[in-house]
Amino acid sequence: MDVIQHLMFGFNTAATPVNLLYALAGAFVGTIVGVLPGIGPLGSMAILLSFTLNMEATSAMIFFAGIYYGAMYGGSTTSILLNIPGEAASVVTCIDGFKMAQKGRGGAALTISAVGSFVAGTLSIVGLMFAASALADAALKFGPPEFFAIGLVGLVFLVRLSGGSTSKNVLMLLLGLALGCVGTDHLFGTARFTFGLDELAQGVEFLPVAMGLFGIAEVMTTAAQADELGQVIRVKLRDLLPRVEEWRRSAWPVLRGSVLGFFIGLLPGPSPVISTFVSYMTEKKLSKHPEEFGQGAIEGVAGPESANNAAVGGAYVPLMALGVPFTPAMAVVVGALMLHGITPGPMLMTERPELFWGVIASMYIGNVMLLILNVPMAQMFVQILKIPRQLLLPLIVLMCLVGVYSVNSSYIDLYVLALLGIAGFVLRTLGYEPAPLVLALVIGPMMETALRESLIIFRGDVSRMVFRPIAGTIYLVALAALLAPPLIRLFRRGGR
Amino acid sequence: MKDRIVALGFVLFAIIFLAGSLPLKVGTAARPGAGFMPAMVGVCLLVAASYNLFRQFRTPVSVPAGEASGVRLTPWGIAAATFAYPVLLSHLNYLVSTFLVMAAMLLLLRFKSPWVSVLIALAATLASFLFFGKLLSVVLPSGVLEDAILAF
Repeated sequence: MDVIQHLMFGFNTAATPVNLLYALAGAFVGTIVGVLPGIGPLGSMAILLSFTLNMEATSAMIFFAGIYYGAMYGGSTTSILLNIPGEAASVVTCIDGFKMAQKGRGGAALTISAVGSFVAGTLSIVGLMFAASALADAALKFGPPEFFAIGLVGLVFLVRLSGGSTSKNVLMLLLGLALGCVGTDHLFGTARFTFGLDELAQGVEFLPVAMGLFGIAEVMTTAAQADELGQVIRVKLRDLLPRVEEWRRSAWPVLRGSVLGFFIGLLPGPSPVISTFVSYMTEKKLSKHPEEFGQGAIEGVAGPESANNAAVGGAYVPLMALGVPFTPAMAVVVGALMLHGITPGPMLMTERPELFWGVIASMYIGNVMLLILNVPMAQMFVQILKIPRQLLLPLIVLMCLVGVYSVNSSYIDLYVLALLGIAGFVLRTLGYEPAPLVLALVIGPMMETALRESLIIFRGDVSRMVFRPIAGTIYLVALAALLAPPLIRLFRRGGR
Repeated sequence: MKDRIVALGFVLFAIIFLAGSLPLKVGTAARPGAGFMPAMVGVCLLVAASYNLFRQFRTPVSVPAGEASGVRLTPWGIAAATFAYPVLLSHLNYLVSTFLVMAAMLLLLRFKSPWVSVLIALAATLASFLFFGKLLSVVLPSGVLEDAILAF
């Protein structure tokens, strides 16, 4: 009952004209970002981080939630009509979505995708609401050893799930932890790696690092690619209505995608992307017509598109309940909160209820807005792809430069932006994922404080830090999750 | 080849980072000092970077298709413009430095004719100055030009 009352309070906050406007702006910007290949939700959130300085913290969070959800909606449009995924979580939609469009069912694919995203988004917010509040209550019992355990387990999962080479992911993670050590030590006030520069005393700022790695590096990567645009498949308004058979075949994939997406969203790493692949494989396995997959099966659009939207809700759970971001996009959200002087964590719900419940309520509103925006305006959003990259890229760089400078009026931040932009570009081309670095930079200082406090409390006895009911369970669950897949494979091989 | 150079760079960074963390007070497990975490990260980084370097030198050097045809200059031009910006900003203030960097990037990316690029750079500079300086009240490096526009 409490949850319902709190949600009503959240709707009061989210339904103010200003917040409604930010939700709409976020949904609109997010859809555009989702449509544009190259500039993903993460890059755009990083670029727009500095713009939120003049906003209320709640409005800023509402704006970001709109962008994140909008990008998931928008990404499907170009996948279906152009065979170009607007962002990574829409790659799977290309397989059957574009085939459907070629067969004249593009409109139906767009509608099913939007409705599926809406249902999944709404269901995942219900999940977020209950899971986050329960987890936040439990987290009040957490001490430094538990927070260290969550941080460590989160980073280990991130390395395993980020894709690419594990050894390269470990290196990027350690690089992030190293950058997180820069600045004044929290416990003793000792300056570390500041080279006498006052601007580094507060540590390496998150904003120029995120903007460099995801903004400037993305611009450089896009500039290095060929500028080719395929033929856009046109969809008439009357074609947007799916047939009864298509609705019927989509219902279960949408529900399954919602559940899968939400739970995968709880895991560290690129959860929206992983959820689409898992959902696609599940639907193919369960389908009565697996041969249709790859040839334009509606289930291949409905499942993954629902899953990536549900994963967004799941990704918010650890952030809202524990203050620990498990995905790079959530790290940007933490950056935005910190810019407003708010430290996310279990106390957020009690100390800033308007923010916590306002954001959740705005997600419901944002989902309705996105449904209204995306179905009839899909063709219009695709036209955005006609803006020449030669014009778009310098404007994005300008936004990054002025955006970073505007926060601290610091030239050092601008150098960090440029340096990390170049580093991000080079490292990405060689298969080094930037996500572990960014997350480690955010989680690292929290983990360091938790580790040192734990060691001081237990007089250096690590076993007392590990063998505690909650911390021990966290380590055990993580160990089981990591060891289960290779062990199952081993047993299966042994059984043959 | 690039892979090996980057792997070597990681090892060098790890050595420098570890060396930098040792003069800080590392302390003991019971009383960890300011250098405790940096030293721990430094050791792990050195091990991981060395392993990565070993792996890179074990795999044969392959030249990707894109690399064989030479380095694309456009992304590096953007990188140079980004690096030049803080230098220009500290000497020439907001309007001139932003205009120069924008014009350079548009010319580099060959957007329409040079004149169109210059005009767009000018418009973007003025629009961003009014947006950030006037609307968002960001304190941008100002001189005579900026003051004149704000007064106008």
